[in-house]
Amino acid sequence: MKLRRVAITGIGISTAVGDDLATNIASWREGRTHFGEVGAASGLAGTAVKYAGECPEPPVSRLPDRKVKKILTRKDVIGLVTALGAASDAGIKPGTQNFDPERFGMYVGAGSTQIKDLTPYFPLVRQCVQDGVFDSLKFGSEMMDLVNPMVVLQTLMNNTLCFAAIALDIRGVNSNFMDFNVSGLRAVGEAFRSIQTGRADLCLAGGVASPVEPFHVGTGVNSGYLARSAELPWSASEILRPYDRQRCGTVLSEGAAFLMLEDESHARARGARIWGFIDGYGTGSDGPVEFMQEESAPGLSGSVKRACREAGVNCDGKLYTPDLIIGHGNGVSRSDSVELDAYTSTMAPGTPLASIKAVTGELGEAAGVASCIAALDALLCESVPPTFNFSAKDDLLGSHREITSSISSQAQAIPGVRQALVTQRSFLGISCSLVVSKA
Amino acid sequence: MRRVVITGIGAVSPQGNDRESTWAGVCAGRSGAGPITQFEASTWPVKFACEVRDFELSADAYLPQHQKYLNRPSEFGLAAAYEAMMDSGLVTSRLAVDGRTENALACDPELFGISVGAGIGAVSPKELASMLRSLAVDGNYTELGRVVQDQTESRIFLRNHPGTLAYLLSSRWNAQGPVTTVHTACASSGQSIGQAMLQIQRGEADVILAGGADSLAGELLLAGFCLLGALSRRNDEPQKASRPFDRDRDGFVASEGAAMLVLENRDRAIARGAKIYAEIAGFGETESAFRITDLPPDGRGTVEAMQQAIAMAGLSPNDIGYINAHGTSTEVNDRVECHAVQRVFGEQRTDLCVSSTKSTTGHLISAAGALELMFCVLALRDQKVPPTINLDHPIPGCAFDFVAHQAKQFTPEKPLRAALSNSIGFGGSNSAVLVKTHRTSPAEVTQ
Repeated sequence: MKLRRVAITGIGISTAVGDDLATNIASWREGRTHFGEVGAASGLAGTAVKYAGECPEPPVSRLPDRKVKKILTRKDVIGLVTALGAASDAGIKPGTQNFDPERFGMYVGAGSTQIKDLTPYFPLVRQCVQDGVFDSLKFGSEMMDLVNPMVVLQTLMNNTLCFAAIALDIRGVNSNFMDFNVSGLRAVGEAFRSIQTGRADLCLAGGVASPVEPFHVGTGVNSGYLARSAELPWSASEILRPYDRQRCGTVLSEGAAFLMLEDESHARARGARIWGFIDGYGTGSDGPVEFMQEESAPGLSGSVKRACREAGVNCDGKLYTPDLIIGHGNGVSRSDSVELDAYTSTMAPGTPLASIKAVTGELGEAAGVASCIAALDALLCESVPPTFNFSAKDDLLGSHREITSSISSQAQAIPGVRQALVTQRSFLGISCSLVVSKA
Repeated sequence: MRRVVITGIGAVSPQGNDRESTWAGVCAGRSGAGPITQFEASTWPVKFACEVRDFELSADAYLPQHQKYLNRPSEFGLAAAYEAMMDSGLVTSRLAVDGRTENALACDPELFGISVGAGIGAVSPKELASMLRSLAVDGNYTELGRVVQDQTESRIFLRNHPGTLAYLLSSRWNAQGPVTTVHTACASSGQSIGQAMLQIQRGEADVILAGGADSLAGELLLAGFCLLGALSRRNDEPQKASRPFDRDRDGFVASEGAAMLVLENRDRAIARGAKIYAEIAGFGETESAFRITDLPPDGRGTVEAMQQAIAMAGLSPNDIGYINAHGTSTEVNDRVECHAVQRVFGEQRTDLCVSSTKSTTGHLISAAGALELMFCVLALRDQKVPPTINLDHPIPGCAFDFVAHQAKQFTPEKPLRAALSNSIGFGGSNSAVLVKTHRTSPAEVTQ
C-alpha cells in the first residue's frame, strides 16, 4: 500500500494563558505562566496545592448551538470550542465544507468523569447516608424528583467528539481515547495513521482535560505526583521545574489542543495553509509497573524508536538524531529521570531537548498535543523553546549529563532545523511519540 | 496487509462466568435478568438488571500489588482476559516456590498489546458518601480535594478511571506494545477490537488482547439511566423486559460483564499451530453526527459502518449469514437498525439471520461489542445462531430471520461462513466488526 503524506492544516489551543495560538506561543517563548491560586471554588480548599492553571470562563457564545450547554460540562465546552477553532484555522467551518463527510474523521483524547460532574447527586447522596451507611431505598424513592435527569449525558466522556461531529458533519473514522495524559497525542497519532493508510482524507484530532478538581488534585498530592505548592517558598511560576534537580512535582492545568490533519494532496487541492507534516508515530508501554514507582521507561524507548524509524530520522547505530525533542518533562522526579534514561539510550548526545510544561503546566490529555504545537513553532522559527526553571542539571543517576547538556532556560537558535520529536508519557507507563517536520 | 485471526476467548456475563457457560446460556435463550441484588432497589423505578452472579476473581488474573485498583468491571475484565490468554496457548505456566502460578508468554512483549473498551467508571455512592460525610454541612463541598488528599490509602481516582483496566492487563501480561483504552459508550469495545485488528494488520503488534468490560448494575450509573428514561420498567416480568425488535419493547436492561479476545497475526498463529476460532476480516467505524442519543432515521452511520466492514473483508452482503445486531430493545434504535440492515442487505434477504443477544444478556454497554463479537465467532464455530428471545411481535416489514425464541442450526449444505457484529453508541459512534470462518491450507500447515 502506498502511504499518503499527512499535513497539519489547522491548530486550536486553549489554556490558562488564553484561547488563541499567538498568545500561547508567546507565553512559551517568554516564560509567562498563568497559574492562579485555587481553592474553595474548585473544591480544593485545604489541599497542599495552591496553584493550578485554569482556563478563563469558556466562551459559550462560540458554541454552535447554545442549547447544548445544559448537557456539556466545562471540560466539554473547552474541548468543543478548541476543536472548532482548529477546524476554523484550517478553513473549515460548519456548513461550508465541500468534501465527503464520510472521509472526515475525528479522534479525541478526553479526560475522565470528574467528581464535580457528579454534583447533581451530592445533596441526595448526603441525605441518604445514615451512620456511615448508604440508604439506597431512600435514594431510589427520591432520585426522580431531586436529581437532574441529564446527569448521565453530562458524564459521557465522548461528548467533545459527539458535538464536534454534529457541528462539522464529521461522519468518518473516529475514536475517543482514555489513556490518561497520552490520550491527546495518541489521538493525533491514530488520525495520522487513518489518513496515511487511506481510511480518511482529513481528521480533527487532539485532547482536552480539566483536571483542576478534587479527585485529580487529592490523588495527585497523596501520590507525590503534584508539587505541594502551598508549602513551597517559590512563586507560582517557579514551581514546575522540568528536568531540574530541584523538581518537586507537577502543576495541573486545564486546557485543550487540537490539530486538523489532512492528506497533503487534499490540502493542496483546496489551497489550505500547511503548518507542517507528521512523519512518524509510535506507542509503547512499560509492562509491569507500579504507579509512581517506575524504574525505567521501556515503553517510551520503544515508542521513540518506532516513531523515529518510521520518520527516517538519522540513526547512527542505535542512537537517533532528530533536530530537537519537545519532551514530556513535567517536573515529577522519577518520571523525568526515567524519561532522560530513555533518551540516553536512544538519542544522540547533545540532541536539543526542551519541555514547555513549566509554562503550560501538565495539561493532561491535551499535553502532548500542546507540545506538538510547540514543536511546529520551533521548526518554523528555527529555535528551541526555553525550558523555564531549568537551572541545575539532573545528576541523580549521574548518567544524564550528555542529554541534559542541551537543555536551557533560554531559547536557542537552530538554523536549518527540519524534524522534531514530540514525546508524552502517562503515569501508568503508556508512551506516545510523534515526529513532525517543517512545511 | 497482514491477516488477523482470533486464537483465544474469555467472558464473564450474567449467563455464566466463562466463555462456554455464557454461550450455552444465550443459545438456550436463558434470560440473565432478575431482581437487583447489588443493593436494595425495591423503591427504585427500575428494580431489576442482568447481574453477574457467584463471581470470584482468581488471584492469577492480576498482580497482587494491584488489588487496591480493582473495581467490579475491571475484575470482570481481568477474569475474561485470563481465560482468553490461557485459551490462546500463548501462555506456559509453572508453579512458583510461593505457590503462585508463574506464566511465560510466547510472544515478544514489544509486539504484544492491549486494547480495551471501558465504561464511564463512576464512583460508587459508598465511596462518594465516605467523602461527603466528612465535610462540613455547607452543601458546597469546598474541601473535597483535601478529604481525598488526606485519605492516603485511597486509590479512588485510579480505581474508577476507565484507563486503569488496560494498565492492569499490560502489567499482568507484560504487554509493552500498543496499549489502548477506548470510550465511545456502547461502541467502545467494537472500536477497541477494530483498533487492535488495524494495529496487527499494520505490523505494529503481533498479538493484542482486546475486548471490553463494564458494569451498569451499580447505583449511580443505574440511576443515571433511570433518570434518562432509557431503561425498561417491566418490573413485574424482568425476564421478558429485554425484547429487541418486539412491538412491546420499552427500553433496555442494564447489565454487566466482560469479553476479551486474543487477536493474532495469522501467519504467526499458523506457525505456532494455534487453535484458530475465526478470521477477523473487516471493520467499519463511523459517526452518525446527528444527536447525542438518537439515531438518524435513515440509519446513516450504521449503514456505512456495515458497508465498510464488508468491503474491507472483500465480501459482498450476500456472503453474510448472520448479524448480531446492536438491538437494545429501545423504540427508535431497533427500528432504525432494522432499516439500516435493509438498506445494506436488501429487503428480500429471508435467509439472513439477525438476532439480538441483548434479549438474554441485557446491555453490557462498553463491553457489549466484545461479547457480541464472541457470539459471532462461536456461531461460526458451532454453526449455530443464538436467538432473540421475547420477540412475539416483530417489527413489521422485515424479511430477514430474527431467530425468534430459539437458536438456529445451520447445515453443512448451507453453512454459516461470515458474521457481523453491530454496535451503536451514545454520542454517535458506530462500529461493525466482521468475522469469517478460517481455513488453513495444507501447504500452510506443512510450512
